[in-house]
Amino acid sequence: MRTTAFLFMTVALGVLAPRAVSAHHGAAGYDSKNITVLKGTITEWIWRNPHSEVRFDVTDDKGEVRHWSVEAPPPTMLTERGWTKASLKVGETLTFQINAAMNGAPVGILRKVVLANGQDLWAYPPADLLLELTTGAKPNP
Amino acid sequence: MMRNTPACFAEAFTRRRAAACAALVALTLPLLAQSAQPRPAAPVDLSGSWGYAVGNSFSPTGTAQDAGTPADGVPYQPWALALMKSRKTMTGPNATFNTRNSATLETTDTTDPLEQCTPNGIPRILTWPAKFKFLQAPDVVYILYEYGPYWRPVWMNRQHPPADELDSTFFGHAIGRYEGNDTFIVDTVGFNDKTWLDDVGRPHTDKLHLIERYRRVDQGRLEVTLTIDDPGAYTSTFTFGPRTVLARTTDFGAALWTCTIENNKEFFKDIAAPTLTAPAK
Repeated sequence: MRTTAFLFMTVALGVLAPRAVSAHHGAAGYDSKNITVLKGTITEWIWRNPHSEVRFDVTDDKGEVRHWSVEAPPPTMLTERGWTKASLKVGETLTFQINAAMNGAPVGILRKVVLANGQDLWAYPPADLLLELTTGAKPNP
Repeated sequence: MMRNTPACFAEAFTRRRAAACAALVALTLPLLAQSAQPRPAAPVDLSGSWGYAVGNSFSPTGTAQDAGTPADGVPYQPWALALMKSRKTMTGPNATFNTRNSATLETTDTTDPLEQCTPNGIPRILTWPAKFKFLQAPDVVYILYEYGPYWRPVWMNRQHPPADELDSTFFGHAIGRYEGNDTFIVDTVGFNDKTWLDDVGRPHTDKLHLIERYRRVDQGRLEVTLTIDDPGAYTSTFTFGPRTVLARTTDFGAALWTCTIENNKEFFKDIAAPTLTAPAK
């Protein structure tokens, strides 16, 4: 089902775009200070270097569909963060938190996905969570 | 402490493969019993997976933004400084975006050889945010990299070949030695000049002589120091580091970072190009 509930909001988080992103096209292209939340239905999930890519359709309250293409980290990084190639499936309707393009184009960089069961699947986790995922170090209380 | 324990068990406890390891040891024990002398453990235990990047600008002082200024502490020869400043980098004071021609998808705003998937060689591979790993044997230590994937042998108890036998390659010819009970030193010569030293585009010549020092601080930390001696490009030796990298508990090599030009083009077309158009009114 391609029609989905529309959810769009921005949250000021001051999130910095990661180095690997700026290497390929410059972080200036994305609004790294705000998170855009989109609920969309996945049309394609590409697990590859230099960045993975998820494409999904978002339907607004007027019934108009916008097709988004959002980059995610490469498989080396996603694997370390608990992802597999099967983490996303075509046809699933999920909530995506992204830094969207500054120019309004329907592209962005994925911060995390909220799965159907409410679990967060982080593409770019906060620093303490990333350290825990990759070294086993527990964050300071 | 993992030192002096079989490498298999060291891996097993971190990866919960103790059963498989025990089976391997059971199969191996009879063979060991037949050998006259068991192999001595390496004096420095480098087991584990290490990462990620040790830095992106290998200068004694300053940051990537200071590259090419007196603040970076690098003793450039004039031509090397001029060449570095002429390069279109994606990191550093004059970083450009990796724009490509919309029709041909060829790069237009960077001269970084990595965008053409040229091997990054050593030391630049240490700028990449992926893991590396040592496999230690008495006569050779292999260093494996998730990027590439590349690997290189570091020959123990050997000298470099004579100059007329030395090839010129991306990773050079490496010999190694242990120092004390915590440091592994890699001495490499025999480079080509096709790679950048680091992400800010510092050049080197085929006269590059690189010394890497890996000091195991404790179970979870490895200190990396690079000493760069290239009389073809710099007026004296300079040192970067020490920088600390961490032991990573995720599986080494579970996914590899393979560069393809086609994927780079696809990524630009799908994602990067749309961000470069003028904002919608």
